Amino acid sequence: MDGDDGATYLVLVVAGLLVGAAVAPVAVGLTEQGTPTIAVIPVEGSIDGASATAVTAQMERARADPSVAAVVLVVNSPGGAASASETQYLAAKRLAEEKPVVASVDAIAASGAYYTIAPSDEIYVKPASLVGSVGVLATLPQPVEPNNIIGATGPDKLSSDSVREFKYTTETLKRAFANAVMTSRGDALELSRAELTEAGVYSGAVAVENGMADKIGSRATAVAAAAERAGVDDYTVEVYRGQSSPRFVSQAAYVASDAPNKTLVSPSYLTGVGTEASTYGTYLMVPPRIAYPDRTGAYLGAGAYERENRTANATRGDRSLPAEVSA
Amino acid sequence: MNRTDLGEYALVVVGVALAVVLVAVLVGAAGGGPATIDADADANTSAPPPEYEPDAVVAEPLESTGEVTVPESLRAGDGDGKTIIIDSSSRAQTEDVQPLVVALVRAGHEVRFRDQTLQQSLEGADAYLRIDPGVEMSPRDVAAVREFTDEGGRVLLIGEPNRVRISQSAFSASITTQRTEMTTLASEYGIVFGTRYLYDTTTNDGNFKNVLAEPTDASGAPSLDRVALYTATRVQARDGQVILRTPPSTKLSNAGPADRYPVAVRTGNVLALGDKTLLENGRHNVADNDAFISYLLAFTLSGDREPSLEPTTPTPTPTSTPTPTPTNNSSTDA
Repeated sequence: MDGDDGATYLVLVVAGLLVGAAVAPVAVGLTEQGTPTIAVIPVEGSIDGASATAVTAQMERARADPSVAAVVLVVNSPGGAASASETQYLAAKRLAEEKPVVASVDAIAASGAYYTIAPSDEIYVKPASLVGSVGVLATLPQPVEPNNIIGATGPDKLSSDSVREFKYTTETLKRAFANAVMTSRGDALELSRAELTEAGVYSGAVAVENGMADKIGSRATAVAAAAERAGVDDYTVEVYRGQSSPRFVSQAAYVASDAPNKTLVSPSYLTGVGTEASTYGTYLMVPPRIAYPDRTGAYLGAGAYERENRTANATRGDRSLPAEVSA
Repeated sequence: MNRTDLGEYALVVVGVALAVVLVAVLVGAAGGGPATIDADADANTSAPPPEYEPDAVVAEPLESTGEVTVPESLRAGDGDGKTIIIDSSSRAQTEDVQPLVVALVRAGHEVRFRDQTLQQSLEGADAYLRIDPGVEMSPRDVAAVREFTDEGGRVLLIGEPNRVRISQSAFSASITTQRTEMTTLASEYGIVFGTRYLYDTTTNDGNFKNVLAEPTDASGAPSLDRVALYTATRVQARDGQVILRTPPSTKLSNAGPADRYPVAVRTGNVLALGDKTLLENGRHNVADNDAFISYLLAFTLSGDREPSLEPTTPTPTPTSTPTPTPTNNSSTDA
């Protein structure tokens, strides 16, 4: 081997390193990710600061998790606080910039809830779903100055001194909301800005016609659409649950309900006293998804978690949604 | 470099690449724990979204400066001040029409809130204002007003759309509808006040119900540009002239179409307006409202009514109720 050959080898070795370095992240990613996940994030109930913190944390978790290929926002919310809704909008927008996001509206996605899902790539609704209400509500300030009970340091401290100015404030919030929807929905929206800001609430079928939503479909359809957008055929569906918002049902209501695989939990679940092996209290029956929000047991579908078999059965090759979400 | 050398080089390249990938796989497998969140490392570094830029969001209030004034030519000299009656059945309180009253008084005219029968109040009056009344006028009073305008007196009728009033007590809440009871008097002049409110989600004074009306050519007020109305209703008049119209983007509540709705009309000595709130302090000088109120004052002061030469039948006990005391209508000159 002469000098030229040595230099050539060096060049090729460097080239090999570069090729390897380029491929390595993909290999690492594949190893870490395993089967890709479709994350399902519920947006439920009234939106306030606490719920927005929980939902945005879940969105951020899904965004940062390389194994999450796409996200489905399952919505059943009438809206809530304006600033909290803006927080959720910004988080959803950031998420949608990096991963496919599909929204599935259950009963209602109104006002702040619609604000939240506006950046989604697609919005699925059912015919009876309700979407819209793009606007702001606020209780008008009442004239309470001057008074001799509360000492305030300025005319607007206790209550806005001008209803007119206060309405301008709500108008400004409305503009931000309308801008977000107009920007997010783009050409899909058949409504003009003037029509949009009439704050109408539309049934799912009408919403598909006027561009407030995209397609009629179930949550399972939304999950499949998210997977398709992500380009994955085989995936796991993972439902994110905030651990700070368990909701309990009464024994009678729970027994009478058609919730699948009703589960009993230990009083320790509520009290923190004892262990889960303690005698089950019949009055502490909660849906499994609430009892095990952090997936300490693997989800088997039909509403049941299998604590022993944690991951193997979590993969749903048929791409159908767990019963707890599609119910 | 011959073909054999190329083959060797290729093998070396592939070998090195595979080795790097293998190492990466091993490292990935060893360190592949649960994914971690990057703790919003770059959450606040991106530029604010354009839809939230202040220029695109902030609703700038319309300017509210200026003062209601009576035109110079209509200010009172010695002893020729005019008398304007504001009906006590109006829902508008004194403070609700303060800018208008102050301007009239400053100009040397007299403003009286009706405290006796209508016929007595109109005696010697030059203008009559009926603002969002809570009771309908009796036929006898309607006849008195008709006679008043036939004599040259000026009448300003101001109505409102139906409004929902929510009353709340410690134990209950009730919802009632408040209406402008102006039908009997307005219909005497072929005027119809609407019951639905007007709104405009694109052009307004900070709220969809605060529409911005524009003067028509018939108004004879070229200096007016925009008049801000606060929950107005449309007003129509048979054979009348429209003074103000809303922009074409204005809609009528309850699914009314977008149109240029009339909100102020004039027919003879009667001018009808579909909003009273613009007379309030704080609203009276938004946009060109001060100039428009001055326009209304000029209308009310421009009548040529001659005072009645014959005395009306005296009434022993004046009352403030709208129920008329019988009078001899023929006692006033036609």
